[in-house]
Order: sequence, then C-alpha cells, then structure tokens
Amino acid sequence: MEVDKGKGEAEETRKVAEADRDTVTLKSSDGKLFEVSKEAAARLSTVLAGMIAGGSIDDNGTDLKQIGSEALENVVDYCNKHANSIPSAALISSSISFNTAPFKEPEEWERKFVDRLSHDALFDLVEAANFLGMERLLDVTCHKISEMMKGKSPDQIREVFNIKNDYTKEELEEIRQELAWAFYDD
Amino acid sequence: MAAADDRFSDLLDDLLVHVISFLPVRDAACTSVLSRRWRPLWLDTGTINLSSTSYSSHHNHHRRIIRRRLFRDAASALSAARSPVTRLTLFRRRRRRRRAKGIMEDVDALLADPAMRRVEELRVGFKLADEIRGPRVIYEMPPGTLPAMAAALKVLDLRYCYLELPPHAGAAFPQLSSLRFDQCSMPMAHLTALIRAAPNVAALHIQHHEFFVSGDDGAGENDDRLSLHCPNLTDLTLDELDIFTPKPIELLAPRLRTFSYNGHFIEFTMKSDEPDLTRVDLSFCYYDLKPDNASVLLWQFLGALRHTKALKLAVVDVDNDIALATTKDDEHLAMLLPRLERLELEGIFDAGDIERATAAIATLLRCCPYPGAGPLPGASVAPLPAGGISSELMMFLDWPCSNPCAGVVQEEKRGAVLQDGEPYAGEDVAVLGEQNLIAPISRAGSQGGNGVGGTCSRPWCARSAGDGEADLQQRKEEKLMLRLRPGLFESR
Repeated sequence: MEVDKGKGEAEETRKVAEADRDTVTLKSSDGKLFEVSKEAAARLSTVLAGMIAGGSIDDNGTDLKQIGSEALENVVDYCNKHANSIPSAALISSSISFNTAPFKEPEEWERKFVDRLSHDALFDLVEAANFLGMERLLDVTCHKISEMMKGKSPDQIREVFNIKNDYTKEELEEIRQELAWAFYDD
Repeated sequence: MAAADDRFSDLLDDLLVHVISFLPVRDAACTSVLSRRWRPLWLDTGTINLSSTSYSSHHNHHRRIIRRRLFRDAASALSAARSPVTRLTLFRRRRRRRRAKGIMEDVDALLADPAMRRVEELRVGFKLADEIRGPRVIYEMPPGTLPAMAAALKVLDLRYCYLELPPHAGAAFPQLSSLRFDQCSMPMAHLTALIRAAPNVAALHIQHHEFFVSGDDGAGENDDRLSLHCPNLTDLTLDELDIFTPKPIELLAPRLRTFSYNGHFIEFTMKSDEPDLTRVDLSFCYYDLKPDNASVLLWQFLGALRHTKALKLAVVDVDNDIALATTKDDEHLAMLLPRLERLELEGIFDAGDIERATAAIATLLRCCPYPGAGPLPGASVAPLPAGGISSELMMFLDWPCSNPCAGVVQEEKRGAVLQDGEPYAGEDVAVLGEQNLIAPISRAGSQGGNGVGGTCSRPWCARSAGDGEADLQQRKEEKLMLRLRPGLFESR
C-alpha cells in the first residue's frame, strides 16, 4: 500500500515535470537517449526548432537515425553549453581580436570544445550540425578544419586528411601554371 | 596525425566550399591541387580573406613583399572567382602607427573595384604591434567607399579606420544588420546619420571610438548627443566611447535584448518604451573627475533598462554611486527591476564604514522582485561582517529556487552554502548573513590595509590607487563582489 502510494506520487511528479519540461529527449542511431535544453535546441538548430514547433518531438526520445551517439552527445553538449553561457556579444570585451575569418570568431569555450575532438569526431559533428541545420556549430567546426589546413602545403594537407591525389603530373603542372600567383615559392 | 579515411569524401561540395571560405585567399587557391574534386571548389566561396599574417611566416616579415603579394593575390582571386565576391576580409598587421601611403592606395584601389559593390560582408582591420592608446587612425576610408557598397552591405566591421559619411550624402544601407567599429574615429553626426540610414541593424558594437567634431558638419546638429535610433537593434555594446569628452546618449531601441556599457557616468535616455532585455552589463568609471550626480545618472540608466532579466553592475564606489539622493527617490524603488533574475555587483566599498555599503546594497536589493510580490525588504539585509575583511571579499547570496534546472549554473558556486533544493528555514529569506558568505577571505594573509592599493584588477582601479587619487586612496578600500540570484520562489 505504502509502496503504491509512493509510486503514484512519483508518477504524478513526473507528469507535472513533463508538462512544462524545458528539455527535449533525442535518440541517436544506436538508441541512446540524450536530454537537451529545449530553448537552446530551438535557437541553435533549425531542424529541431521545426520539430519542436510542429509537435513532432517524442517524449520518449526523438529519433535521429542519421546521428551516432558520440556525435549526438557532442551536439547536446554544445547546445547545453550554449544554454548556460552568457552571450558574450554583450560582454565588455575590449580585447576582442579582429575577425580574420568571415564569421563571428569562436568564443573561448567553443574553441576548446572543438579542440578536444578527435579527427573523426570533428567530421561526425560537421555532418550532424549540417543535418540538424545548426549554422553556428557548422561554422565553428568547419572553421576548425580550415585551421588544420591553414599554412600547410598541399602534400601536408593530403596527409593530414588522407586525400588521394588523383591528378597526373601534367595536370598538376597545368594548375600550377594557371594559379602561378598562389604557388610562388616561399 | 593522419586520418584513416578521407572524411571529406562523405561531405557534400557545399561543406568543402564552406571550409575553404575560412582560409586566406592563397591557401584557398592552393586547395585546387589537392585532388580533382577540390579543383573548382575554391572559386565558389564568394569570399576573399586577405591577411598579412598568413604571409609573414614565409617571408621573414619582409613587409614590402608581403604587401605586394597581398594585393596581387586579391586581384588574382577577384578575377578568378566564379561566384560574385560577397565577403571581403582585409587584415594587416602594422609595425608602426605611421600612415603608409602605399597601403592606403592599395586598399583604396581594392575597395573601389566595381566587383566590391556586391560585397555583403566587409571587414577591414589593422593590428598594431604596440596596442598603445593614442591617435587611432591608420586607414582613412575615402568618403565614397561605403556609399558605393551601401545597397548590398550586411556586415561592416572596421578597426583603426577613420571614415566620413556626410549626412546629406543620402546613402541608404537597407541590408546592414551588423555594425562594429573598434578603435575608429568618425564625426558624431556622421555616425548618427549612418545608423539612421541603416534601420535593420541588429547588432551594434562601438568600442574605443573617438568622435571628431569638425567645424562644418554642423547643419543643424545643435547638440553633441549621441543619438542612436535603431528600431531593430537587439545587441548593443558601447565601450569607452570618447573617454576624454563623454557625450550623452539617446537610444531608441524597442527590440533591444542585450546591452553592454562601459564608460563614464553620462546622461542616458531611452526614447522608446523600456525594452525587455535579457542582459545588461553596466560598468562605470571615472577617468578624470567624478561627476557630482553620479548616482543620479546611474539610476537613470537603471530606469531606462529596468526590464532586464540579468544585470551586472560595476561601479567604482559602491557607497556613493548607488546611494540615493533623497528619500523620496526611495519610494520609487519598489520593483524598479521587476523582471530581474540575476544581479551581480562589483565595486569598492569603504571597509571603515560598512553600514554605508550595506545601505547601498540594500537599496539595490529593494528594486528586485520578491516572492509574494513586493520588494525585498531592505531591513532583511544584515550588515556585512566587520573586521577581518580581506582585500577581496566575495559574497553569494542565494535564494532557494523552485526550478532546479535554473540552479544548475550556480550549483557549484553555492554548493558550500546550500545543497540544491534544501529549503530555507523560516522567514529569513535573503538574509545576508554569515552563513551565506563564501569569502575567500584573507587570501593575501594581510589584515587591514596592507596591499590594498592594488586590490582591483580593473586597470582604472589600479591606476586610481597608484596615483593616490583623492579620498579613494585615503580610505581603506575593499573590493566587493556580490552575486545575487533571486529566482522563482517556493510558494508556501
């Protein structure tokens, strides 16, 4: 009797909690569940915003079959960090470095966030961000990839990213001629 | 650290183009030799990033060569691009402040290229080896440059530039949504006119700006008020504008969400209804002399920004800057800040006269919402602990919060005080008592005034102490950081 009553109460509490939940549950391709701030998800992802607005969010876990659990964990982590971070747009920041990249520079935590990712995790996250329509996360991750290319020779870039050179020698020579301005020797 | 697979092969061309768009133009062009797939992609970025820093490592800082190549590369990329160039970033590192005529001409020529009329995002900046304050202008943008781009421009980001935009030139910037000036200079009337001509600006950041008052731009500008009329503005930062001759600010921004201000106590008026702000940062300092009516000006700011959810307030002198001039004002305090959920206060108080600081803080607290409606009774704020206060005192005052999620951010900080969800006993809500203090007291180990001079990390603070400025130096100064987080309360 006691037990039942306790259970009933717990159920009641759960229902109340669900009614005005401020999180949504997402399910990865391998069936893992993740909670993410509803506000941040809607703000950062056009796809999730559409699902939330359209009521197609499943309380038991909205299926995201295209995204593996590791990538989804990073997405959720990113959203939750975003939800908690104070928008620095409004912070006094006299030390803002001038943008050398054509977007708002990654903030310190965003930089750290992508820096700790492995090569594969970074690319998985690019795909997930692209799939979910997360413009900012896509910028931050693609910017990170560009940083890995910057200042490197084509050979070095091919090595880092395992890009197969399918040109013939002649073709390469032709391009080098065509873009001689970019290929002057240092 | 080579990858096992070519992960680019899973990505659409669009994403590769996106990656390339972040590269300096020369690196971007070089991606064409990676593989056949990559060959045409760099032509579609619509972006030219020019940065002298991407050359310097190769050339032992031979500046003339860098300059020649930088602009030659720009011209080459411009003529090669398949898509119109919509983004241009030009960044130059300069050894000296001295204006270099050659560079000016190169930049002028690039910006005057007809292809630039389609640029939507323009960023022009310089970086000095020595970032000393001083005459700021490195590049003078010809007055015709921006009007020529006006129709397409969405983002404008300038650093160390001087520009003029005569108010009667009639340029309109219908698309402009983000505007940032850092270390720039511009006649006030021209800035006002630019902003009026750009009604869709959503983000405006002006830092370390100097206004030129030139004799002939008068044309009915009878006051020297900075008037910002921005019907669609959501984020505003005004940081150290014209520190030597501060100007009153008049703001019309009904959709403002975040506002950050750092500078003098000045006259601040809101021409629109008070906007529903999510965050306000106000940081006041005196560069020279403190105005007599500092606290009046401060309350004017707070009144105009009263619908904010979060407020961070930094003042030099807690005791006096927050104090109210008359008791009559006091009556208007109740619920002055009706939506406030988070308050941070930073400043210096007189440890020899704790009651004044307490009264000042109580004044501020009375503006905040309180459960069961009505303001927080000022009387419930107990005196700060007297004696033995270190040079750095941090206090956290926490109210119990019915929303556990909202408490997460604060949890670590207040863990030592209240376990999450632990109900407050009795009626002592918001008692600023000993049990609520987390005070990294006596970190310096010194009691009393030793080492007090440098207590504040803020540069102006250190300076004022170092210069032995007036009474602030005489008093025993303490830094107070007060963090308050009124939340949703348990209804009883």
